[in-house]
Amino acid sequence: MGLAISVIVSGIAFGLLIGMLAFILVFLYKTTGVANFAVGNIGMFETFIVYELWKNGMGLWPAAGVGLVCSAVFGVLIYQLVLRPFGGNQANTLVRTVALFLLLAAMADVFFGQDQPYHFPSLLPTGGTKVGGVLLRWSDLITVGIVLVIVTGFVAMFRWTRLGLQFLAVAQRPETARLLGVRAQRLSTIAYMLAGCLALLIGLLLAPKQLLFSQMMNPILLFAFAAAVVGGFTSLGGTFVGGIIIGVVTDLVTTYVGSDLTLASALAIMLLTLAVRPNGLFGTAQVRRL
Amino acid sequence: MGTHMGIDGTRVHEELVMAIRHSGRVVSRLASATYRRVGARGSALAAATAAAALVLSACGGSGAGGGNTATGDIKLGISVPLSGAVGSSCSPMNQAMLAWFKHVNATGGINGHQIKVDNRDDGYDAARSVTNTKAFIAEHVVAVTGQCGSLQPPAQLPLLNAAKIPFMYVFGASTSLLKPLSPMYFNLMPTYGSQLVDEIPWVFKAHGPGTVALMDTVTPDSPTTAKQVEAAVKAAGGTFVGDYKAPPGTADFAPDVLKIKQKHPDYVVLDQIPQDAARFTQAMTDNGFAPNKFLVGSSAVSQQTFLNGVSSALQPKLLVSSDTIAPAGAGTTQCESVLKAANVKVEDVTLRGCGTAQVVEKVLRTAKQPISSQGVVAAMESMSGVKASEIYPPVSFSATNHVGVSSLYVFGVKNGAFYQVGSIGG
Repeated sequence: MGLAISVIVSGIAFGLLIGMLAFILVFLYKTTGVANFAVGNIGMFETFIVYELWKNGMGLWPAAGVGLVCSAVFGVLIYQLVLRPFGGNQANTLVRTVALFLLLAAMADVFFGQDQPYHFPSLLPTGGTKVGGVLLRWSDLITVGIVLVIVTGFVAMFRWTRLGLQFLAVAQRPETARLLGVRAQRLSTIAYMLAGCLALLIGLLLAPKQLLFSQMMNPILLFAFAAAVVGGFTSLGGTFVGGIIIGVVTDLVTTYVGSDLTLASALAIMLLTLAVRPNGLFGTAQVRRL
Repeated sequence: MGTHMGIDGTRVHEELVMAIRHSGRVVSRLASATYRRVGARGSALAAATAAAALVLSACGGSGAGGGNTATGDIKLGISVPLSGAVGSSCSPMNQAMLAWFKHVNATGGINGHQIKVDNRDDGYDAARSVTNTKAFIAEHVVAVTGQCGSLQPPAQLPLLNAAKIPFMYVFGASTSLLKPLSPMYFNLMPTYGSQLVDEIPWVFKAHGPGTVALMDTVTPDSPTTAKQVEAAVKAAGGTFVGDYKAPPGTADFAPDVLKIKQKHPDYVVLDQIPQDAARFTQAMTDNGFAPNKFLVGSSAVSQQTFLNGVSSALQPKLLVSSDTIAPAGAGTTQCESVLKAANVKVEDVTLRGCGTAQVVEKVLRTAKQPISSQGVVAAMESMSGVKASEIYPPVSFSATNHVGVSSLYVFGVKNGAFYQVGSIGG
């Protein structure tokens, strides 16, 4: 029983990280209408920048602060230079995100990959406390706090601010929103700026556990898509529930069945959700008038 | 050029049809099956498929081996992961090999002949390594060397056996390629399984027998290695508590760590690719787990890239075997000076690459002139106790033994670097 509880706790911690990546996917989907395959590698690349700053003598927290500013700029540049030019429909933009995914991995290998993987120091305190024989890590507890702040902040933004309302309007009715004076491209730029910062946050939380290397996010990305589907591609809060479900179930499957079925179990949950609740656990049906 | 009407009404050029009819049953069946399935728009695809099959079948089986090029150059083929899951471990090794070959060329080559290397990335993917190997065969390389990984060699070797081109010195564990003996496969390094089999009794003798858990990356060799390790533990007086497997690139090792932690093992044996092993040890640290005595590994993890990912708390508990000397012992070697001149970092994996290239050089110098694949094989099979490299122990091959190194070094860790604490065999 102790093993099961420890695995569930570990699965929740892993699931929160999956959920954060899924959160960015859903956020960009809600605000720009396109799911971005490259978000994981955007975070990976930004984390390498922080690592290089730290390796060259900057303190870890100052390097993270500088990295956050760079990430905001990086997100804006990605939107302005890669995704926005030449228009194109959703399929076109989706393919560009795939290309960006591959390009960032290749660039990381070229610029930073010589001696990878790297041991990345943790911004959060190490160690933990035992509750009933189960180790609760301080880093995991703080991650829960970070997640709550992020979700609360974004939900509040979408519900009670003009900016959030404009985001929703552009996502649901881009042409109508533009006609009403909403500057869609400005909003998309802001969305990518926020996404860039969030992606770095994931990288900074993940790298101490996964080690920093160019493919650090790849195993998580698939789980993140599954979490977004399970939670619902229109529900920001649902991504974390989806992530926790994926994290706990896959860890239990690994422990009691075998690691051969870890990925299969995540995909099975995704398919089951699509079959039973096509819009996800917390998603809403998208209605279009023809 | 005339056209034929295919079974389903597609048109195919007459000459292509003739070529298909004469090329052999497999290609004909492929072409026929393709004709039956595709419609008019698929005729170009069907023709291309058949033509590709023709080309591929031509590449696979000349069986004549390779030899010097028209200019007298000695052509070698290297297919190696420069990207992918093990790219970071294998790429430096490759750079070191190329640096040594460049040094040999700069100092007169092999009896006046330059070494030309066709160096290709296979991304730790068997299919890509096959594509590269077919290209090497078409180029009539003298030998294929410098591979790094366990997934690719089983796919490459059948082609090289058929082409009678030696496959030299893979950095990887492929038990299936040694038993039964493959005529063209020569390795310097004992398999990871046989290293662990030799290392476990040494560790028990030095630190006492105990309970052992094995952590595996799932590869074609991992079931064999697991059985070998279990048998070795029992034979040496220990208790085997379990084999825990994870696919390459596993995202979360916490469940495996928690399972092993429950068993409170004295030793944890690592049979993993370096990146996974480093992340596994990180998960051990995160979950407050360490074996009672030692973490035991083979040359798969005798690399600085692995060590860099191990927490400072766990490093003193590492014992790994290696068929090459530690970087600390490489100070006066030619390899060190060549690597430094080529701006290649001197570390375990690059010394291995340089040492491997030195053995290749020795074989090429020993082989009868003009150099041919058959001559290379004969030269290797006549080597007995030859100190072919500063980095490896003396190597011996024969017609019935294609593993050159029979003794191992044992490394511990001090101040973040490997250093020799003992040796096995020799």
